[in-house]
Amino acid sequence: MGVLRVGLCPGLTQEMIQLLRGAGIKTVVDLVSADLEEVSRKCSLSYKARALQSIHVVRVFDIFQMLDMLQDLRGSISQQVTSASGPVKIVVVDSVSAVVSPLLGGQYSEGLALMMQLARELKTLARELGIAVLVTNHVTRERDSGVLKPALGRSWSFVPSTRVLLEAREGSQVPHGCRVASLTKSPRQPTGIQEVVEIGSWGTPELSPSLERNKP
Amino acid sequence: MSGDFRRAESGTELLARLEGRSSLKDIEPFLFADEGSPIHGDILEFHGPEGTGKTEMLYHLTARCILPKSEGGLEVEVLFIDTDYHFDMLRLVTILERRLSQSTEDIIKHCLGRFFLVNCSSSNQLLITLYSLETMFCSHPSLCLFILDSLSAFYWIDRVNGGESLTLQEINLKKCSKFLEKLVKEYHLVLFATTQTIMQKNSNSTERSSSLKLPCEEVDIDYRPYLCKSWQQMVNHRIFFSRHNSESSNQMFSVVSYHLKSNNLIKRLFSIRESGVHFC
Repeated sequence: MGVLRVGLCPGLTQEMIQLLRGAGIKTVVDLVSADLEEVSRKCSLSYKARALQSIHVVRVFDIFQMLDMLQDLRGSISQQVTSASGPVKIVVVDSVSAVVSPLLGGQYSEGLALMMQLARELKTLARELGIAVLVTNHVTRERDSGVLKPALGRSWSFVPSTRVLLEAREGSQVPHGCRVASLTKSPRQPTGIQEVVEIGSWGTPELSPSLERNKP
Repeated sequence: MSGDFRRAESGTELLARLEGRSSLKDIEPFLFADEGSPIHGDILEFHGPEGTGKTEMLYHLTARCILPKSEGGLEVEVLFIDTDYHFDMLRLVTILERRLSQSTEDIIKHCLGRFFLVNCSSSNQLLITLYSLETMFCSHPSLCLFILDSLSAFYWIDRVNGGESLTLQEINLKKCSKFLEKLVKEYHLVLFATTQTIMQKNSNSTERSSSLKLPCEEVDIDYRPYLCKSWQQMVNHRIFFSRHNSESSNQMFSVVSYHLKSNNLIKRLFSIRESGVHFC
């Protein structure tokens, strides 16, 4: 097995190699078999900080800022601007109902048109640029039957291709602090699949952690 | 070049237009009453709220058309226009794999060779695309099935772009509808178009009964027409999709197929399996 040298993997600079040598790690085997927590404490490395650097948080508070943001993102991807942390793979919008709800309910249809424009931008990101898009939305109840349905009305309901309902259900089968995730819409899988998810470790309480990814 | 002169057809164009486009009468007997099977020049509308199986039914019809005759297909070509990025190629391939007795990569590729997919992102683009598709129909005499999913995708954006005038709001859709009718009649195609239920059903019963004119009142349909009159008048056949609440754990869907001319109405139930739509 090889000796650690510069450029063997992303992030392995000369400085880092010196730090690792100081901790007694010279080869790839040493690194792989070492306890990372201990190593990072010894070398003052922070791989967690590096992971956090890959997350870009943008704050937008109305739909026009959101549309601007998405168009900038599309522009930077088409010009192939590469950042230090690599290409954008997933866009999370939390929450879409916060920017769209103020637009709905009036007598003019501009609000709905803006919502559909936002939907089109998100879908273009997903389909043409191959980025996973995840949005969060609230639920409301049906007037007559009391059944839960997603907020933002009928026109929005056609937009997402996969939908997962998260509920806090009290009961003997659901341990405290856990939520139930059910698949209510999917282009490829049968609906009705349910999983109990524990907040904190983000895994199923009994088995090993399994993270659900929703691709549009 | 002066004024306007009648466009002359070349011999190949004439032949391509009139020559046997295969019949789609047997495309799905469950969906149609005996006299209502789709014939050349028919325009059918799938209407329903989200998650009711409209796109799945389109995959079902597509698979039926592009599969080879030896595997129970019709071996004809299909043109699919997708206006809201709904189409999922992986799902179509899964359905083909499940339906073929031997699903090799070659056979799947051969089937997909009969499938043409177009994406449109605005009603202007849809109109221009339709104009440019005319040459495609000329050069592909085995292209019989024309699918448009969905026709109502640009409704709100067009409404706002048209401002106060209803004519301006509907102008693109009206032109698209007229041109679709021309293409379907001239080239002997069958058009299946989906429209989404985005309007609340009007609680006023008189308006509902006048707009729908269904023979039996017990069929409860969530339908409030909102697209332009040109489109509504050219549809021969309306098929309504809805969820069917059943006791079984499997989600069932209901389809009501209404032939406008003969006034025939049939209702069927179906479920969606991995191999696609399965009628009960």
